[in-house]
Amino acid sequence: MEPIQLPIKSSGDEQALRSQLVTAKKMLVPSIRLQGSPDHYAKPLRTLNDADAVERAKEKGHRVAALKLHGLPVAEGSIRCLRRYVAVVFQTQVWLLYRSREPKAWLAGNRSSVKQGFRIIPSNESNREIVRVKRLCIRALYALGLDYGVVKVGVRSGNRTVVLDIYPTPKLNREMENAFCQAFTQYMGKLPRLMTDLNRVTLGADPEFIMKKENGELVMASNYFPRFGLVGCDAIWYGQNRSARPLVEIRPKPTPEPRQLVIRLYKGLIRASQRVKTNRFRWLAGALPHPGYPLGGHIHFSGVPLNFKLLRALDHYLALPLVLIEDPQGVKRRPKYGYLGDFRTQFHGGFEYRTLPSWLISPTVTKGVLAAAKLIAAHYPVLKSGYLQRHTVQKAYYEGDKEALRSIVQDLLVELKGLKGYQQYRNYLDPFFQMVLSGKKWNESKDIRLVWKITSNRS
Amino acid sequence: MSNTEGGMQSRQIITKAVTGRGRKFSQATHSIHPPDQISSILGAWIINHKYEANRVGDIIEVSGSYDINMWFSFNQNTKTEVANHTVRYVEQVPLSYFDSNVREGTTEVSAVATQPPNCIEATISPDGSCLVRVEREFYVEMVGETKVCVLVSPAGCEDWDDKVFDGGDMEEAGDDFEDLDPDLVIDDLND
Repeated sequence: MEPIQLPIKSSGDEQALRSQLVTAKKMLVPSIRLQGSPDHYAKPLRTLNDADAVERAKEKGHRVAALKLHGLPVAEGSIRCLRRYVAVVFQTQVWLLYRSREPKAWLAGNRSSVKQGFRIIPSNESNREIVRVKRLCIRALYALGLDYGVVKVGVRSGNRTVVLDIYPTPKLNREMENAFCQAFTQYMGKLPRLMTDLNRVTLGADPEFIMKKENGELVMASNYFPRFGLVGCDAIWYGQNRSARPLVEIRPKPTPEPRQLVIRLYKGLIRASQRVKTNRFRWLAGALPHPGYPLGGHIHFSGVPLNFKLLRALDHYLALPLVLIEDPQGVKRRPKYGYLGDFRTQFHGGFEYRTLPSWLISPTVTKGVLAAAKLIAAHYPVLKSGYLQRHTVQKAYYEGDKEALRSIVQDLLVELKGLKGYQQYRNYLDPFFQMVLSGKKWNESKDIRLVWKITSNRS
Repeated sequence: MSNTEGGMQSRQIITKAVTGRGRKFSQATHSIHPPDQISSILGAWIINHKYEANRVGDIIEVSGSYDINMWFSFNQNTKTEVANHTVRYVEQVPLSYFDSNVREGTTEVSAVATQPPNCIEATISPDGSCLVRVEREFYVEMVGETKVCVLVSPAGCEDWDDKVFDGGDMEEAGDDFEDLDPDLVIDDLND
């Protein structure tokens, strides 16, 4: 089925939109192409549910393979579930969620032979399971390259959630129809203003590192740092020590200026060295400098609305280039961490992008990543690349296949250089791009204090 | 902080707060001895769940009981009956959050079954007994008295309207960066 055409600057009339989105058979249209001004918007932004992605998602073999590649639990055959959820998902939000009624008693041979009724979960009801199910639905949709659809998730014994099915062209009841229309109307309303000025985007970050003793043991961050503050430890306990984590986090105050953020990060590193007061520990960053302790370089954004298009742009123009220079041992961080499109919304209305490893590995990488993040967030509507729609490119990302990605990354960087705002951050981006294409790799076993020129006994 | 010069006073107030939290999901298998000649298990239902929580050191112990009603057939599937068994359990739920600023002796604990005991499967084992698999999850909370230090306005509440807090940025205060200017250094870091 051909994509339907919609104008970007729609009238905002929900009824008119509804008649276009829902077919006579009460099915949601599989794919949408947005037309009209702003003329400079590129293809990825003009497409909702890419037609090829929809076709692939309908094919079970591909669907299972794609979800597995992203590290998502997926049912390959019919399985016994305690509960089922059905979610109406549009990009980063679940708009409507149903849960199956639970049978009170266990009955022998009851393998979905009895039709389970479903009940809507009120939007203000939340618990751990609901939060987990919602995240899984959004991730599943993202992994298949879609923007909207209905996702079915099951909960198995042992509290394990699993994706059962995804329908890009679901048959809708009245409630689902309303939910989708609301989601589309809201999204369409934001469309004309997605391209913003550079100074409208505020950046924050909380990159992590660990400290290793000479004998290879990890240093407990909680012995040196408080839980909160410019330099803190990621999570501490208290008592049985079972979840004490040795991750040190630098949390500079957000600012619109990448340079200012780098300065604050640098101050954070100095603060850390003043607290630790010894030269005997090695400070390690990157993706996985110590087995079992994956590190992240989360970037916080505010001032730009969150949507799948922005996340996909960050995956393309930030996550892919970093693969070229990452230490091969960092590949094992994925897909449990560092999966594509990993985000969390924040209470202040912004969001954090969590896919990247700890780029504190080098000042050039830090400066480049933050400048690029800002450039992408402000200008992504005009970016054209859709390489990650291809399964092979996703696979190359998860496997850290530098050779497969090299020419793609070259293209991506050329595209970034063509952006209007590029000149403003040239002095950070040029050295970073050079490094990315140089064929060099970072070494996660090397003390980052050397490259940041930090010594512990500064007086 | 001086209590007189700045015109600021502090006071310790005692309040109740959540000083500990924990959660535990668990699976249990109960072995029930059925009457002779059982043919098959037709169903199982768990009812009458009762429990209470107690603190034992740093752990919250939830102890309780429930009835397992098992519907089964016997005499080569010619008759059915329901057997009722009461089982007792003790679940130790560790606190994943514990605030040591709690006044000992003032704590109370409570538990909520976020997932009441639920039968997942019932089977007849080779030795003839019935195995009933159950899942349950508890959330526990410890509430205790804790001291909070507050600043007191000497002039009462009305005075706050035109007072400006000059705490500054506590983080930045006391920084000793005299020997270097990060603003300059940053541009020289090229690795």
